[in-house]
Amino acid sequence: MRTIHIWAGFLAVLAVSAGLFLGVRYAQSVEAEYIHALAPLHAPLNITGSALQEAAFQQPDLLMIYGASEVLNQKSPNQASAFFQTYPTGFETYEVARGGDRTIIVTEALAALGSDLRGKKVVISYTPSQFTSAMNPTAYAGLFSREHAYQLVFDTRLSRETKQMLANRMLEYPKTLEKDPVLQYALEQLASGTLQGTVLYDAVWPLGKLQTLVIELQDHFATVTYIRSLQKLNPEVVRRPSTIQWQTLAAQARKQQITQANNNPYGFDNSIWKSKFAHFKIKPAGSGDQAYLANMDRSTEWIDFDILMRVLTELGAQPIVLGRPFPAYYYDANGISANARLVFYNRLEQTANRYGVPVVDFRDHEYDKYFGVDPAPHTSREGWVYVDQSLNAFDHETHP
Amino acid sequence: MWTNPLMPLIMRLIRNPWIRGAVLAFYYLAILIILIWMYGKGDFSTPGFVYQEF
Repeated sequence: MRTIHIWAGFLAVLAVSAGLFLGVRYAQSVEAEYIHALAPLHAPLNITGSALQEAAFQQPDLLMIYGASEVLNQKSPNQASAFFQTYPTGFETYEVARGGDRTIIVTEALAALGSDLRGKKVVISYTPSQFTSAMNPTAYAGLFSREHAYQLVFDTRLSRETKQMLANRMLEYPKTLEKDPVLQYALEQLASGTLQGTVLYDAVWPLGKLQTLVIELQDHFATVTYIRSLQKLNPEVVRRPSTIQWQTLAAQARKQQITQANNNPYGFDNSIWKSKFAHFKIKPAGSGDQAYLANMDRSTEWIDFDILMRVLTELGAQPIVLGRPFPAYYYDANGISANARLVFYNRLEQTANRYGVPVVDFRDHEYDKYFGVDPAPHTSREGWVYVDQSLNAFDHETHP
Repeated sequence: MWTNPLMPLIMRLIRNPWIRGAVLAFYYLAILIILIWMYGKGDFSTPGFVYQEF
């Protein structure tokens, strides 16, 4: 008599499994259908989920960019996703970025994607200013993705050494793990680097893997619900191939930018200067070098950047590191010399090159007064032309 | 005492192992679907976002 319950339960589980499998396939087809239309929208699920990123990586005409506010700002027709929105040279950018994003968040997002990265181009964006401090726990919690954490711990083929490095960093933000004992336990075992830790991690793996599957299903459900909520979203995107005259465009953008940045000697936007730097005082040349170099040296961004490079290499991605230059006139006036800035450029380049990853840091644009709009710097309409040109070259394999 | 005229039929159907198995399967399926419906949405919200400028 009991066998009838077992068979009935088995059939029910089988039916649910088949339903979930078909549901995931349906969700993936919806995500693939709408992913081009979603590219310029910067959906919030880009930050907390993986489904949209997986769909975007499958598209040969979407170039993935990971970074922070410098990827999104300043808004102008030259900002990458706006500029490439009509696929003028055959591709559009897909940006996974949010203000305040740091390398550890980017690393977690990319590590979570695992084998989806194999052979895929990806742009890692940064600004020099992010390499002078650590991400505070509150900001980290606001950008932390539980799904990314589970996926990278239980679902990717990263080496144990890389997982250990990531685990050590993630455990420095314990508040984000409080509600996930399985995840926290697995991270602690990975971080321990002992044989006992390896055995205990393997023991907890099935439970973590199961939880990962549940979260992935939830992600697909949330993504389809989000897409369906955008009732006016047309999956068909406009494609207008055109030839871009980069020099003409840069000259035009510069001309416009000059009129927006004429109340200060550093090329910053007038409104930003007025609201944030009106009381700025010039400092003696080189007087800020020591403090700057000490802060930069202490920054945990270097640890995270090194892990990021390892992750991308192990997963077989084809990355490029694309930065923004220091706004040199401002840094000179702030007492931070060209020599101190060079230490940063060289260190970043050496770290990336160690993994065979090319770097475009625009250091030759340091004294281009109108490249950025503030100290970070966020990119001006002129700066965007140079960034767009580099993105275009990377996508079309013409980058040095 | 009133008895449901359908009861003998129901009892006969329940005694049939195929029908009993099918009813049980649907019953378990319903439980699983309700669980998925209850917990399927997940929570992809993060704590209050705080912009850390750099």
